Amino acid sequence: MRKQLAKTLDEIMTFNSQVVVLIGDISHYLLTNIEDKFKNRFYNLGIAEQTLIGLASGLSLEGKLPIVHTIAPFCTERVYEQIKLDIGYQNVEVIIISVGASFDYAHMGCSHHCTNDISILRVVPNLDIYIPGSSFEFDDIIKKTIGNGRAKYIKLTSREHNQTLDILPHEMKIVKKGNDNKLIITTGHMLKDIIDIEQDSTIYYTNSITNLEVNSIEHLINDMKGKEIFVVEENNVVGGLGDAIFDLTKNKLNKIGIPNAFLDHYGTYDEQREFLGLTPHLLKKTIYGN
Amino acid sequence: MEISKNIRESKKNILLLANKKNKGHIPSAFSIINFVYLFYENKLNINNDFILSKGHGCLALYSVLEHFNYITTEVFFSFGDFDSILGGHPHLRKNNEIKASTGSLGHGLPIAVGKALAAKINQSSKKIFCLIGDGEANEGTTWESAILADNLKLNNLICIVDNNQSQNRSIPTPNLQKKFSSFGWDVITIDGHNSNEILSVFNLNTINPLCVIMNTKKGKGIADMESNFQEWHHKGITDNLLKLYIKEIHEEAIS
Repeated sequence: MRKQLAKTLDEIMTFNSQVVVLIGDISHYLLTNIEDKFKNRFYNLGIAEQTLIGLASGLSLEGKLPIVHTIAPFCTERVYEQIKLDIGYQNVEVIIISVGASFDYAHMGCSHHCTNDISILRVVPNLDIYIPGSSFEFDDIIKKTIGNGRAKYIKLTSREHNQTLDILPHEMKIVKKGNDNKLIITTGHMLKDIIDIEQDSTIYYTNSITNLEVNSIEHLINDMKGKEIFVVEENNVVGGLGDAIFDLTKNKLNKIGIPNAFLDHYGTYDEQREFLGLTPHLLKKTIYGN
Repeated sequence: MEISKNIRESKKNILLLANKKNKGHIPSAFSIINFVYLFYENKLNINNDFILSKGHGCLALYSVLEHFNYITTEVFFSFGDFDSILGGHPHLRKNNEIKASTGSLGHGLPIAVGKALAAKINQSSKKIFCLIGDGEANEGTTWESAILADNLKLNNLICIVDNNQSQNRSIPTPNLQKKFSSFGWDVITIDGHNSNEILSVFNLNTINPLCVIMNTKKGKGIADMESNFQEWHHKGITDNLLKLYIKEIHEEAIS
């Protein structure tokens, strides 16, 4: 997928003059053609990730379309507050493309693993998350979504699946309708593994983790009836795709708490609690209906 | 003098607000208000951006925005209310004059570097003024930004350090002049309570990014706040003190 990155960036920089690519001293060797071609729109900003994200947000506030690229833990976990405030809270379109996936750099140890990016970024409001399963999907996702005003995190993986799917960003796609009692939902390159092992099961696939499109989820909910359900992903199961599906398919658990949005009012603690429906009076109303 | 009168009036409004709402970072606002006032008085905001990275000093910005009619008096005094656009730290989605959402220290300068880079790419003459605190200079992003701004030759970036000695009981950042200068910046030191010295910065053209070390006093103009600024860092004002302090502000000599 990394080779596709060089090709795709070249193409989008050609058709959109606002795109600026910022790298944290990673993949430079792959991007030298872009560096030569777009002199003032490609910057290797070295090893200063927090500032890299803040700087990208500043570019975006001035109308640029910044694309930030480095190894996954360094552009997610390390810069979490910059993503939360400079990108999410300010609600600007910055595109972060990571490399290394969850453990593509297995031999390098945990410093270079990133199994939690999806979990921690799912709770940043105003950010869309994608795990493309193939080079084609990566190219398709970025071309279809660039310029839509939304911040994006795209997780590149070294492995790819071998399917050609007519899938849109934010779609939950049925890949196969099976006759046994199992339904498997997966994301990214793991689709290949699931297709390889499945017997006669129903398979759903998505390359988007956030804002899954309602109609496609309704199909999924319908097909889930009477099935044993598995969600398979190469992410931390706490907060990953499984949790996202759990929420969307409205299981019997009613979650009461803080929604995934910025609390962008001020006031007092009690006013916030009232707004969120967390006062005893409002909890009673939610739980008992009066 | 008109300027002195207006700055006094803005400070008085901050005191009234802190009394009414029983909260506010007054000393941090009083150390920077001369600069913020003069920035707007000279209409620098029309073609340039001002980022208040030390977001807790926002009462200075809000009172100046009220003075120049960017917000109404009513909005100013709604500070901190649930539906107010003015929180204890500024949020750029609430008003066009707020150029970055700050509050967590060390975020404004990287954003300013990005804005300055965009201006360079666009070949625009826009300048980005970013005001940070001397305590905020503890943050690593200050120095990452200093390295990048130098490397990117951003001579349209001005970092003003509110050198109000707020960190005197923890980790001060001494020798700011030497530090920024060794990072490749042009550096100038001014008295942040002297209008002429502040004005001299606005039209300065430099080869390198510019750091303005602005020597100030927290709580300037109110003796008790100047000497007890740690205690006064975030606090409302009682009715009795309000009268006393308004009198003190009224008699303050502003150069």
